Amino acid sequence: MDILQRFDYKSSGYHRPNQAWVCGWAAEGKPCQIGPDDRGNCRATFECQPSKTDDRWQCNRSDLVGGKCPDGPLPDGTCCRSIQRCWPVRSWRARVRVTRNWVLAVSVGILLLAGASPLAPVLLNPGDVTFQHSEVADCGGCHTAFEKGAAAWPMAAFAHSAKVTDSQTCIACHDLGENSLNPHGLQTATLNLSTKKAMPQRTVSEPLVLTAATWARDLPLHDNNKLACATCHQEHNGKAFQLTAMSNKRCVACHKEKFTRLAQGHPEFAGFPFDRRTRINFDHGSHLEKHFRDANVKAQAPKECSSCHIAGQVGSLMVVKEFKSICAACHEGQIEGVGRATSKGVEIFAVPGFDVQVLMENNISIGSWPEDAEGEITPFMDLLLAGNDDYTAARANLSELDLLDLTDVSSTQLADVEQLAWGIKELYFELSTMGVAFLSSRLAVAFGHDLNTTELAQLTNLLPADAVKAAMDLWFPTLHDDVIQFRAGKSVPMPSSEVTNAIVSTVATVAKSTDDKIGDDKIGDDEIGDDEIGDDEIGDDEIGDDEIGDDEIGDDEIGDDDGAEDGEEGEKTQIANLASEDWPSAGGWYREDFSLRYRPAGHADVFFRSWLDIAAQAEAMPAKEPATEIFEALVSTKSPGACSKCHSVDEVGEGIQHVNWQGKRPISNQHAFTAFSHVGHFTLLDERGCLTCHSLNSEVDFSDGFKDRDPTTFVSNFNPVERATCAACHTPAEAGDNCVTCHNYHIGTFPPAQTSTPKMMEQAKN
Amino acid sequence: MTLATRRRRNTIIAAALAIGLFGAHQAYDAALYDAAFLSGWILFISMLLLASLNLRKKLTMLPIGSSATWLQFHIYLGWIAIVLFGLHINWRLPNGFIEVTLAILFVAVAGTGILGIFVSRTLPKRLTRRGEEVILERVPDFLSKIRDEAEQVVIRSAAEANSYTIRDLYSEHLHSYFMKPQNYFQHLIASNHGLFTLLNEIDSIDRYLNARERELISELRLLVVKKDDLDFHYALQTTLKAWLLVHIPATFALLTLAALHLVVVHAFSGGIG
Repeated sequence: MDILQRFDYKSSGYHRPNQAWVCGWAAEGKPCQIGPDDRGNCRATFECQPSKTDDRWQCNRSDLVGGKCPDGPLPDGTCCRSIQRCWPVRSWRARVRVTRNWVLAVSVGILLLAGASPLAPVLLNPGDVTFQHSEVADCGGCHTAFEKGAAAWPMAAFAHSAKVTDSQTCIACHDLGENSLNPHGLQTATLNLSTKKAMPQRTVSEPLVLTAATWARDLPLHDNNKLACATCHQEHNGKAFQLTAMSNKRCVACHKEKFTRLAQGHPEFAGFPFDRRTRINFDHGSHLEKHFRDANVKAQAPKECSSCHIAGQVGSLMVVKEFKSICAACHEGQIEGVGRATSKGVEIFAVPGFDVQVLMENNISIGSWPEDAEGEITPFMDLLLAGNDDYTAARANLSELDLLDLTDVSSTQLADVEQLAWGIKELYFELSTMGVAFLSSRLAVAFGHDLNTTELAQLTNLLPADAVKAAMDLWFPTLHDDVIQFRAGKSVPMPSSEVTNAIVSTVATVAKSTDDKIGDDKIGDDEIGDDEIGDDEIGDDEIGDDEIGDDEIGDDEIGDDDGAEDGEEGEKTQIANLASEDWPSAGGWYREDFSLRYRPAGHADVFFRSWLDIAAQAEAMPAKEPATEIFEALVSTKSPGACSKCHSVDEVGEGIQHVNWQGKRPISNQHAFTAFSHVGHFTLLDERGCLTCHSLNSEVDFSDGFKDRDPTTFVSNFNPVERATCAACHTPAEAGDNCVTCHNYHIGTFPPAQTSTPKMMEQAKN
Repeated sequence: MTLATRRRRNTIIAAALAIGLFGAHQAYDAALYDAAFLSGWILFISMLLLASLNLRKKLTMLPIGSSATWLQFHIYLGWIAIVLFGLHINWRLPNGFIEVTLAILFVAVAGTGILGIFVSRTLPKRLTRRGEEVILERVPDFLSKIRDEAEQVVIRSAAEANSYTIRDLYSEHLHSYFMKPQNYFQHLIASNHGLFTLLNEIDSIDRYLNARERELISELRLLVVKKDDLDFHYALQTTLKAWLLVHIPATFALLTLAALHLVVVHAFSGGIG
């Protein structure tokens, strides 16, 4: 056998590879000539179909299978050789086609299962979600299109109407503020302003891919500059995937200045971390270079930065410790008034001085009025009388007048003085009869809103009834009768000097224990130049050695006591001679001549703080002017308490002030642009400690920044942190220089993700 | 243009396109888009174009370029599609039932495609270098003839040589050999190990044969070699057809599931892409 394959017509049959079925005997090498039909059924019958020639049947079997057979057809014309039936098999092409169809059917089956069966979530799930989201019920918890059914997915896929709809499901738990979907959570105008402000004056060759990105497409911002949450946070990447991870090049996609390295391209830290003056006016330079080196205070002075500063919440800020632990040793005395030349207490209530003689000559009916009073109306009194229009008008008319000299005044002005006097007397009448309730109502009118109990207690600081009564008895012995008559419409003439003096002398002994010669004591204008701690001429009595603790003043019958009849005269003399403001050395109310004053109870006095806080909002109050006057008086550097010596005041709005009682404190849930943790860096510092990053700037005049109330005009004791300092460690190979290492994207104050319990009541019941 | 020149040109164009796609992918990602959408769409369109070769072969009447040109386009676009796929899955194993299925199907299609290029360029040359070129569908017929001849030799050996040595050899080693095509994978890797083993068996009984048997055994030996040549052609030609048995069905499944994948990812995109 030399050649297997021959192509002559007798040897080579015709193959039809396009046919789907092939004779089953082909595998044996002996396929029949008939072949299966197109359905794969064997059509095998006989090897030939005999033909009849001259009444004789002839075999016409094909030469390919041997030609005419020797036996010939049967007499009836049937072929004598039947073909054994086979099981047809598919051709190569048919096999490919069938396989394809089966695979296609399985695919369509998967498609239908994925779209319309309970297995859809399993089949469609492209991967595990992070463990934080693993409890989301099903796909519809995040993908709003899922709930609409498979028929709606093609529309949802290509409709542009609801590009940020899915983001709303994120915000349902992760509420990032009003502008959650805006870049950085800020309004566009704010971002534009920041861009304009920060636009650097330099050129940086940006990476090619970023240039291409800018050229290729606009940013994927939707309606009103919103970015979908999924732009940056891609789920279905496994349980441990970091959803907040972000590459540097994606961070700078929106930024005009594009760079990918901290050491190359990142702007210098201009002024970082200082963007305003310190809230507490503390000059590090003078303290470190002068005060802490003073021999008198050296022992108490802090030895290092951590003596005063401690890491706050999450370590982002080095907050200042409490006053009592770091400042009180040197500054407590100043607040309490130790060594203070002027009055240690602020004047709250007073009896203004009038030209009583002129009033009497002109028959002005204001009842009794102490002739010796020489003070002025306090702003507190103006505030309380702000709701009295007649008083207010009279006050305004008399603003330029010296009430102690009414010689050349007009009758109109005298009428105003009368109005003024009755306003004051009614004020004291109601104060002494109604007490704090009266103050509450008047303050509500002045402030424009009611006060709660706590506010009232802080603003009155437990004004004792007896102090008020004693003052009224001394100042206006006939106050009660005068006011009643006045309100009855009767004229209340001023009594004669003799009558007045007799009344006054009756209660004069009450004032003996406060042998103060303050005749014109005013807030910030006190002239008690002789009364000084250490130069006290009252025996051996000194503050701190006070023997008043043994005194039985509570049982003292001041009205009967003339100070000379008691057998313990030496002790009473000491008490009687004790300056009234020294008695409440720990702070509180005290009466001094024709005024009721309040002395601060050390640092963080509630009364002072409450009045400063509320008066800072003066602009928004009905009693704006007196409130402003109160605020300015208390915040003056000459004010008792000396609050503003350390606590700066910021103007935060149109006339609205804010007193900074504390240094910067971390705000819970606040997310700033820069996230820095001091704590994480402590172990990396060398012997220079904090000065590694915060170098002192000795050249500046720190006080310059506190000459106005604009917190942004400032100079810092410290030089700004330099980028090179951070870049020394934050390289890709070491600490990393990914943008999100130091920066937050979502800015604002918002709580962590939280869920809601809308069916709490039903569940509780069940 | 020579084949080498054409190949060089096409390779450079394909490489440039692949690099360009890679760069576009990176730029798209840097622009805050999910680059998988870009690569996915380009990949899907590429797969449609690749699958259209099958259609082109059926629409021979249309003046849309020769099949050879289409095949070249198909091959180079296939290489680019592999790069696109890698970019699309970010060069890591996907999760999810649909995604894993798609990945498996793509690997099957691409893998068989690469295999197809290889076999279609190497096997025909090998076929022309050995034995008689035969039509694959006729191999069983030829096999049958060779088997009949071999059996005749065995019968003659028993009748003429008065010995059953050849008969025993046939029944033990050669009967199964002549029944069906053998040594499929050895022929693919151009190994003659099976043939030599068998020939060694035949040669090892030479000392036990008489003169007549030696004549008959030499005929049998020739038939064994002939049959091996037939097996060789059967193996290679079957391979040339069989890879399409995976490549084409997998392509249809891939396109179907890719369409589902496309709708789902857009519907659940969350506003990106």
